[in-house]
Amino acid sequence: MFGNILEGLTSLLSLEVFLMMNLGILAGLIFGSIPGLTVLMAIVLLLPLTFGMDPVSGMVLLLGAYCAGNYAGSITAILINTPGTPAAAATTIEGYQLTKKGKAVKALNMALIASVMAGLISTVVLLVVAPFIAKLAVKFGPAEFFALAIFGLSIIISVCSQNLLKGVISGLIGIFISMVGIDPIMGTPRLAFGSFNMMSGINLVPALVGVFSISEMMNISEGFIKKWRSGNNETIDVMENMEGEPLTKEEFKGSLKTIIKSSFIGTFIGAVPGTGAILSSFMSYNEAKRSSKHPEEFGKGTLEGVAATEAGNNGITGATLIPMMTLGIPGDVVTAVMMGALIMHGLPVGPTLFSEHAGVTYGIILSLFFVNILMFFQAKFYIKFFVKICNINKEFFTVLLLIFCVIGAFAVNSTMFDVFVMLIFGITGYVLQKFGFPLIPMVLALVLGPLAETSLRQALIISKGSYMIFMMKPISAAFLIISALSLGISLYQSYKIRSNQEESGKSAII
Amino acid sequence: MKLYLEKLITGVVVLSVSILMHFLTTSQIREATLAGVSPRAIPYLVAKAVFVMALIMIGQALYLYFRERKTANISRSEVSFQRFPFLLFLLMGAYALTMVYGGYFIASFTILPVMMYILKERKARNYLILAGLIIFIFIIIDVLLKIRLPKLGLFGII
Repeated sequence: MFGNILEGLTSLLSLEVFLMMNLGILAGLIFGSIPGLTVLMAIVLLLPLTFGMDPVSGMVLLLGAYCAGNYAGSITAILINTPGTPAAAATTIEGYQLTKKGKAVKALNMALIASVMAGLISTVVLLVVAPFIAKLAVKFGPAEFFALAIFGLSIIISVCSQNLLKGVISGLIGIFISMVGIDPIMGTPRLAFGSFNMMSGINLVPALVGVFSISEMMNISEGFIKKWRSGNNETIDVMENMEGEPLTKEEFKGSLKTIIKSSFIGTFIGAVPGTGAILSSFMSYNEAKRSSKHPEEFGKGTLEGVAATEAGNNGITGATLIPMMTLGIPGDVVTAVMMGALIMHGLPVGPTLFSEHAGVTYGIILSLFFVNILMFFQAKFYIKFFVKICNINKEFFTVLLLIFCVIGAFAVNSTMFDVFVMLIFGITGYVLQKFGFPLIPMVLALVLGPLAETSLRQALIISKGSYMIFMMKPISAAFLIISALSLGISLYQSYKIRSNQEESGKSAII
Repeated sequence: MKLYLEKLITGVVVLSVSILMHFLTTSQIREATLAGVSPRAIPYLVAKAVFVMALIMIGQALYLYFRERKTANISRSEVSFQRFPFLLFLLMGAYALTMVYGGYFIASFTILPVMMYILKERKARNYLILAGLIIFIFIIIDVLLKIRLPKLGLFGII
């Protein structure tokens, strides 16, 4: 393992990697600090740039944007009560109260330190845990992989407990689309309409870019109309809130325990596919409030609250890579795009990544340490620039984003077919979202569908058609039982939410 | 629009999608079997599952209709569409099509300024910045990263 770590470190010692790290962090900080623009957009924007690079440089660029974008959402959350990213919503609770008290600089410093520490802790966990999971996963056969894919799908669908039916439909549509192309076992074309482009299947990158960027651009454009109609082109002067004393050592020490605890909460939640930063930041906040010596101060502006939410939010950055790199199951949409980037570079995502491409893999993991450290310095020295950028013209950004989306989709196979796939997914995603269909199950089913189908059929060939193979193998049986439990729980939650809604509706009528 | 109507329309659309899936599965996938599972099996299963889900959705819509008719308290749907996002989408499609036939430069220098104009951008400076960025992006992507973009489309032998 130490030989691999050394090899990984060597792969990071180049000017190109250093530059890409900084470029990624810069893009993440810019996109994260502008409300309405997301970390995912930053990653999509940078994706085409990675195709011409070596895998480590490309991934470092994306990871820089991922970590920095997760942190930067706190800047506007603290200064103007508007979270730059959805995950920073919890930071507004305490952050903006601190700004109103004239302690904005303290809050910003605390958010940065907590984010960097959480990122580093999460990376250590990734470095220690991932190789062991990968070693275990190497022994997985088709039955285990099938159960694993089902487990991944069940967790993702269970996240949509508020609208389980639509979540399941979205996932099923994703599975159906993933069947396009050559059949993996028998080699016959499926749903290809005789087209050579269709025979190679639906590429993940154009689909993701379409579903998340094109549909998001269409969503953002609705906001433009509201802005034009109201004639409100005034921008809030974010800079005027940038005042107050810097963070003291005592204040930092007072929140250290919370930072460490929240980092682990974030890391744990990040490692579970389908959860994400929003859940971890709110859970960390609740835990900090519960265990605080001064819970009465929460909600009125406390640095401990900012530390908890930001550590919880950034604790996921390394951990989300654990299921993606070891098992080939993306933890969230951002990691699904990163998974697409790894596949594009010819790296087999899953347990063999650690054995066949150890140098590159450890290089990518170790880069997260440097990304977090560099992010600290960039954010510390250029915070005023990022604060100013919050007022940038979003209409212009939309046009710029379109160029990168088209190039990103085109660059996958150097064919315009993928660009049209992206557009189709874009409009489908927009319409589905409008009707309340969650898009995450569809995308993740697109990733996990082929894995589930191939391993199911391979397992049945081995067992000569007997489905008992899935229950005879302990790991496979365990995953299937957990999947069933997870689905059962989400069904119960869905029922509970609905009955609560009905009850509140009745009481409103009474 | 009324909520039950929205649910009913969604259910009918999903039902049509499931029927389309059935049709595509039988017409576009050849039947063959190995160890009891054919290439058709999973798509067929998915189509059937979507069909059942669609029926549940329609059932939910009807239940809502009869329940609300009793209480005379009709819920309104929150789904609403505006024309502008679709106009933007058409421009995106036009950009992609122009890139096929005219290449990166013609598409970028014609469609993107139109898009900016529609997005109510009136500052000449931003148009100049856009022109500079189009060239800059080409240099980065095509020249430096060697990802070959369609320079002149079909008119210029790509």
